[in-house]
Amino acid sequence: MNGLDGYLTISALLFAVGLYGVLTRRNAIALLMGVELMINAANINFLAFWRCLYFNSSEPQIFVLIGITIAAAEAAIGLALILNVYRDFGNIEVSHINELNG
Amino acid sequence: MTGFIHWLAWIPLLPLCAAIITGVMALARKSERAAPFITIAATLISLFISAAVLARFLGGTTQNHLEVSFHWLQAGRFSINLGVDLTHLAALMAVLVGLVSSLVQIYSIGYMHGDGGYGRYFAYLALFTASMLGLVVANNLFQLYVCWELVGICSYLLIGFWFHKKSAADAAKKAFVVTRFGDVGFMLGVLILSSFTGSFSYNQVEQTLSKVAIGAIQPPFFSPATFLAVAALLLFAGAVGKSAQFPLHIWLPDAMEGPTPVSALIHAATMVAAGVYMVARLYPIFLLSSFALGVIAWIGAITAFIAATIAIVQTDIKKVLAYSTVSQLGYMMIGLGVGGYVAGVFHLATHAMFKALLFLAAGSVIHAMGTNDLREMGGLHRKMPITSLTCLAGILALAGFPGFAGFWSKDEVLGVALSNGQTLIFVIGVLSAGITAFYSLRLWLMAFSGRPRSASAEHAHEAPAVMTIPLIILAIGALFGGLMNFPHPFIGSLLNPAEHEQINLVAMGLSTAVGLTGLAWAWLLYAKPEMAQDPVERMPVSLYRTFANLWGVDAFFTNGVARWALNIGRMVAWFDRHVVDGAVNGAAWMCGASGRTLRRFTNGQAQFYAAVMIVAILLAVWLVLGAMQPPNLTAAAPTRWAVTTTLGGRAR
Repeated sequence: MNGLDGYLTISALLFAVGLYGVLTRRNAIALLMGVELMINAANINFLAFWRCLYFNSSEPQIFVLIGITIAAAEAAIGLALILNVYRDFGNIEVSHINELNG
Repeated sequence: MTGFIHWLAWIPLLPLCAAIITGVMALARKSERAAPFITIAATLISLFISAAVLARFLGGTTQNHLEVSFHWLQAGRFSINLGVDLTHLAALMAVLVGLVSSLVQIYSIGYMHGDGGYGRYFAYLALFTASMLGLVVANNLFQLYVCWELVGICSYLLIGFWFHKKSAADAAKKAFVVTRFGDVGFMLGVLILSSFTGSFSYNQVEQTLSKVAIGAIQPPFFSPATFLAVAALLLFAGAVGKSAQFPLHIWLPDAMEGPTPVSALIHAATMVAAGVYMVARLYPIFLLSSFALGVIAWIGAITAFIAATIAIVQTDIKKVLAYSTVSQLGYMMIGLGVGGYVAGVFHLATHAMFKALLFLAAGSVIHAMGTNDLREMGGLHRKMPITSLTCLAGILALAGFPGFAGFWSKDEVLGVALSNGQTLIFVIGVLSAGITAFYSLRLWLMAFSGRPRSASAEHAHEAPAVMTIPLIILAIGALFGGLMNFPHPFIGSLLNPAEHEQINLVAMGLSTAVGLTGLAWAWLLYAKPEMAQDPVERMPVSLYRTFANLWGVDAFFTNGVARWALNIGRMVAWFDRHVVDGAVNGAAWMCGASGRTLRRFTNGQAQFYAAVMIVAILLAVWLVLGAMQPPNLTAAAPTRWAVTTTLGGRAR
């Protein structure tokens, strides 16, 4: 197993943990945390490829910076949404937020 | 003449305008009292115009017709004109229609006084007059057909005028449905002729068909003779329905549910004569097929005989007259069928007058009595002398008493039949003439002579002048109607100068003798002050039953044709309900079912959506990668492969 495989395995595990959280947690904040984990797994991927394959290029680092920014924005918006959900519903259980069902 | 011709279109248009005006007034329930004056004025003006045209023709103008027409519409290769074409025949008929219509409308002022539908009634009458005149003056088959159906509608509306009575509503439906049988044939005839000749115009159709007859043009599918016979008989089918010929005569007696003046105008004088008129107007077409003419003559003879026998046993005054109308229409058909064009039209003209008279007289009696039943009448002569005497004039005209209108025309029909070698038809005609004489005098004696047989007969009184004056005018027509063709053949020279019909003394003598025998027999049986039982009931029971059962024709239609049609209808309805509706409902159910299934996926759970998304992405990745069939996909190097695939050639 070379270095790249190790990084990718870690990142894949991290992504799977995040995905598991997104799909299973009932608490909206935990769900948000899962999304953050998935974004970070992607960031690790970028950095791993940069480190092992494209060391002379700066594009992966730029992507990672953008990814962190997106994660921050997402956290801010997500928390704001959750706050409003809490005000309306009195809790933040995602399974309760199903008014747009068919 | 040039300025005059612009007036022709107003012959049908004036009554139409009157119908619209009075119709709106009747709908708005405003000034219904004024309605008859509008319609009568319109009818009189159009009568005046057509009478002026007829006077010109009689005055010996060189023109044999007056025509105005305009191009109405173009549909493919068909161009359809609307127009007025007053031939000698059309002018005569227009005068008859206008005359009877205006008299009936005047009479109706008295008869319909105080009826709830007063304005509506006159609007219908005016609409009828307009459509009938449109039919008479038509110069093409299309306009003929449209007006043909319009008079049918007016007949329906007026039979069912008292639609709150179930019998009247039923009779209206029956008239409409039964005439439809004939009208289907008529429509097919019009379509065959127009599509074959490429025109609706009478002249062009007749010219093309005469070329077919001499073999210059070959018709499709048929030999020329068959084609001409089929076309003529299809047209005649319409006349069978409209003119109540056997076996479609069954609607006319029921049509007596309408107001009596309507029976006089529509179901005696004009509309039922429309079939006869149509045959006469298109006579050049019928002349081309001797087979069709034979069928017409025989249908006429059968109708004349059967209807006359049924009339003997009727006890409803209007039913007697209705069957006698059917019978007389049969005579007109005999006349046309045996080649007596002038005779048929002459009988149409005299019949229009004396039958309108008889119906109006019957209306006067019904108005006074409140019942149609002859058995409850009697002794009315002293109570209502004008009605009685005018009715007697009509009766004698119908019976063919020497000198009266019906005598001349009926004998001319029979004379033509005899001299053209149709002996059997002649014999049937003479027999029916005897029966006619019997039942017509029976009607008069039962109603007017003897002692009153009910309280209402004792307290009857003469009708107002507005009703008796039309009676008197028509009685003059019934008395002197024969002058139209004898001794000077006005109608003959007007319609067909070539047809010099001599008075056939054998025919005249025979039919007069038989007619007088019928009259005498009726006199012997009925001219008694008291009448405990109707003498006709003493005739052989099998005969009586045949006549009273209307020869089983009605039963045949109700039990045979109607049941058959109902069963077919039920089958079609089943197919419609289960197969056609099933397909439509099935499609709707499938949409609903797929909707119900799919909406489960839209459950509002964001996590469920996310899971579906992930699964779908994985599926898509698996499909794309599977399609690529990676060459070195081993368990040891899955990531290497993933990297090379996703990043392309750069990594290699």
